Amino acid sequence: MKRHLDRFRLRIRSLVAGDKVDARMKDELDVHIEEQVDNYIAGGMDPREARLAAMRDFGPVDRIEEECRDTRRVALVENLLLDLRYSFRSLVAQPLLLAAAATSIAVAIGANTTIFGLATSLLMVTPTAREPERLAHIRMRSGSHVSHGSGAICRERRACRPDWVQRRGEHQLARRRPFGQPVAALRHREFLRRAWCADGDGPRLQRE
Amino acid sequence: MSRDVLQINQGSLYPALHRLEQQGWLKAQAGQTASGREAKFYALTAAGRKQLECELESWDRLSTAIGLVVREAE
Repeated sequence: MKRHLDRFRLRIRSLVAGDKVDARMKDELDVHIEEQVDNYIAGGMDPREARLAAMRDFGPVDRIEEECRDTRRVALVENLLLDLRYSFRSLVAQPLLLAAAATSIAVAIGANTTIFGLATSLLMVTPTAREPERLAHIRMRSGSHVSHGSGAICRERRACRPDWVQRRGEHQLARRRPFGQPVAALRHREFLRRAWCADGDGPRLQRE
Repeated sequence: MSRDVLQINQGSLYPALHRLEQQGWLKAQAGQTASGREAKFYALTAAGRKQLECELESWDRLSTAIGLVVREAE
């Protein structure tokens, strides 16, 4: 448990204080080389020779620094941040490209939302009415149209439910669909338009 | 240590040390070298000692097995 805490602490330190950790790592390698130089000088080597020999013993400093950095395992996050910064800067440098990209994404999202919204409400939502297949679509002569439960309009008009509504309802009950558009409403729209018209005082049948 | 059979750069020690430190098997402490330079001193943690035993055991098993196979071929 303690080990995992230590690991977590080191990761965090590498992330937030990466430069400091980096500098300390370089110091550590320097100290090693300096100590080695001192050893060689103490052994009677001339200083220039000693430094060359110490560097040779140590190996490629840059590669070793890089390997030390890799052990911290935060390169992924650091590179991600660098990439983000780079893309932000190149977008700011090309505002036209930014505008085009933003617009096309916005249009695409808007269109998709609209289409899926429509499809969902038309095809996937179960109607909330109790017996949706008995709903009727009534078109008024003036050109406006009203969607009503047939029962409701009758109560409102103080008329009893017309015979054909009753019959249609019973007829539809036999071929009820599990869900979907109130079938009756669409199927009988044309019939209704011709048969059921309303003028000022109330509904009446129009003969054609 | 390896009677000069293995030639490894001194610098290669550091990536290994840092890896072990990141794994929580070593702990570094600041200190001074004999010549008075600031340096890091590494020590095994408890988890590190346990891991060392584990690794040694598995290394012994593997090297013994390889030794046996090689001798068998003689």
